[in-house]
This record gives sequence, C-alpha cells and structure tokens, in this order.
Amino acid sequence: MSSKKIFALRDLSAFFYLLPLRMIATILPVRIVRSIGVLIAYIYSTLSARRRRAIEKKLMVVFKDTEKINETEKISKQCLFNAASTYINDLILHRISKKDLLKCGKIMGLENLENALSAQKGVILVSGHFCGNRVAKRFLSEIGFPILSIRKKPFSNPAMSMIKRKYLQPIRFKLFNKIVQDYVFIEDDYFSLKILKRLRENGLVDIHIDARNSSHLIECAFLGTKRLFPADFLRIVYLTGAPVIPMLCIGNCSSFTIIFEKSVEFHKTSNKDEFISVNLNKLVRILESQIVHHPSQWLPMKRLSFIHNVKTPS
Amino acid sequence: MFTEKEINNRIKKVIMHSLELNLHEDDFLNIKNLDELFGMDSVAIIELVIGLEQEFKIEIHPEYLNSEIFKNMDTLTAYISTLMNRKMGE
Repeated sequence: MSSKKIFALRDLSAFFYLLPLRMIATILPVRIVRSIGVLIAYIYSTLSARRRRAIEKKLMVVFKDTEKINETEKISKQCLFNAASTYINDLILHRISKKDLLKCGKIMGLENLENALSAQKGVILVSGHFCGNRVAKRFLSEIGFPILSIRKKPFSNPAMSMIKRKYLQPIRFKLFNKIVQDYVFIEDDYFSLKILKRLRENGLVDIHIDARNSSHLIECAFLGTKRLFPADFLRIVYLTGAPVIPMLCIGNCSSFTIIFEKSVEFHKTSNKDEFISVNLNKLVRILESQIVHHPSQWLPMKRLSFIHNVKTPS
Repeated sequence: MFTEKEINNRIKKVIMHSLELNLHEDDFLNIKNLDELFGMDSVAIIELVIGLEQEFKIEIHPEYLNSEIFKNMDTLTAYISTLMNRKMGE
C-alpha cells in the first residue's frame, strides 16, 4: 500500500537538487558549479549535526584501538562533505571534456588489470560504494576499459510521498542513466547472461560488494558489526574462472585516483557452496581495509541505517 | 549427425543436472519459456551455459549469449543442433 502523503518535508532537498540545481548546472560553467557544490557540501556537513554524531559513533567502533579514534569528528564531517560533493559531481560529470578528465585522473596498478585481462576470461572488478566510482568509470571507458555496472531499478517504497514517487524518482533515475551508461539491471530477464557475455568478450564487470542486490546474501563480520553481503557473483567466478580484482576509486571530478589491486587468490574448494563461504570473507576483509584507509570516501558511512545497533566501545 | 531429438534429450539432462531439478518428460512439455526453470536464481542460466558447453564439448560464442537462443527448448535445441552439425562437418 502506498503512502497517501503528497509531499514530505524531506523531499525538499531532493526537489532542490533535481530541479533548480540540476537546471542551473546545465547552464553555468563547470568551475562555477563546482564552487557552488563546495559551498553546499560545506553547509551540509556543518549543519547536519545529528548525522555527524551518528557517523562518529560508528567510526569509534571502526577505529577502536587505533590512533584514528581521535579524528572521528573530523572524518565524520568529511564523510558528509564528500557525499554531498558526489551529488554535485553527478550533475557535471557528462559536461567535463575528455581532455580535462584525463588530466585529473591517476591510476595505480593498471598492470594488475592488464595481467588479469591477458587470461582472456574477462575480469570481475569488486568495489565498494566509494566517492570516485562514477568519475572513474567514465575515465576508464575513455581510455579503453569500459565497465559493465550492475544496477537495481528504482523501487516504489510505500513510505514515499506521491511527489517523490511520481516525479522526483523518475528524474533521478534518468539522471543516473545518463551518468552510468554501460549497465544491466538485475531485474532484467537473463541479466546474468549479459554478464557472461561481457566476460566472454574479455570485458570488465563491476560488482559492488557492499550492495545487497542479490538473491543470495551471506552475513559477515564487518567493521565491528555484522552485515549482509551478496554472494551470487562468486558463483559466476567459480563457474567462469574469471579473475577478480579489487578496485578502489577515491576523489571527485577535480582529482581522483583509481587503484587496481592484484588478482585475488581464492581458496580452491571441492564445491561451489564452500567456495562462496570461504572466499566471500576474503573479499569483505579487502573492502574493510579500503574503508579503514579511506573512511570519508565510503558513501554508505553516512547512512544512518548502516550505523544503528552499534554499541560504542566503553 | 545428431538428430534434434537426441540433442533435445541431452539438453534436458543438462538442465536437470545443472539446475538440480528433478523433472519428467511431460514437465518439459509444459515449459513455455526456459526462464520458468530459473525462478529466483539469477545465476542459473550461467550454470546451464557451462553445463551445455561441457556436455556437447562446444563453446557458445558471446554473440549467441542472448535471450533469443535461451528462450525455450526449441530455440536452444535448434542452436545446439546447428553448432553440433557444423562441428561434425569440420
């Protein structure tokens, strides 16, 4: 049953972002939009005290027994700043010329990707929801490494207001389609066949390991708590033998870094269920390490739903 | 040369083995689209592709990894028959 609300107060920010701000961003020069973005991100990160406190609470668990525990206040503010900046980046990403894009990107470990591709089985890139993902994908596509993204279609949340469901969400969906052009929806028929096709063409497929878009989820210890992680993609790894490379993309449209780690060496097992349960944890540990090193770049950090039920260490 | 009937029977065996299904001959008659067999299992079709390649010792070209070929038993049988007969002719 859908909500009877026509408009909710929390729709205001989405309305402001998707209508006036998005339109302004199509007219104004990119550098001015960036400056506006910095200002908005600064205001948002300064005023959102409740969210900052919630992030700090989580960070205290993540960084207990480390020196970084003294920096939680600063990192929590940076988390919100980066999250808001990512939204602004989405508005200008398609307007940045190839030349400008190539100037502000840096790749580390490209040889790891090239080595993996030499096996001619395609490569599965495993990444988390980090700030630089979308700009990195455009950059990689421009230099000859297009990546197939796995996406979920927008769902109609019963709590959504009518305005959000009918008008705001479709605009956001269209905007996203424009940003991430090479994708497959998990709701599409035969979507995994499209993944196999890309791998067989020796292409790249990106799997967000911190997404829960999978029919098979497994709970793993994660950042001092527990969380569900998708497991089906490991069946694809088991069946196809495609190498898996952890990818980390940090930064924004002005300056970003893409890091390809070495191919993951999976534990060999006698059956696929064992393969999944043994090796998923290995990938989760890699994600955890990326987050610990770049906490303010991981977008789900700002989600309150991720933070709840966490006990602050005494 | 393999007959379509032979190939069809072998495909059925691969389907049952790859997807861990226990179906009878009559059950296949009622299946209009192969995706009915996959249910909520999004990776099942990859299991089927790999199973078919192992059974028939063929490689399905990426161009043919599409919903038209894997639509139903008839389309799949026709495609595998063409591949097998081409292989036999080589």
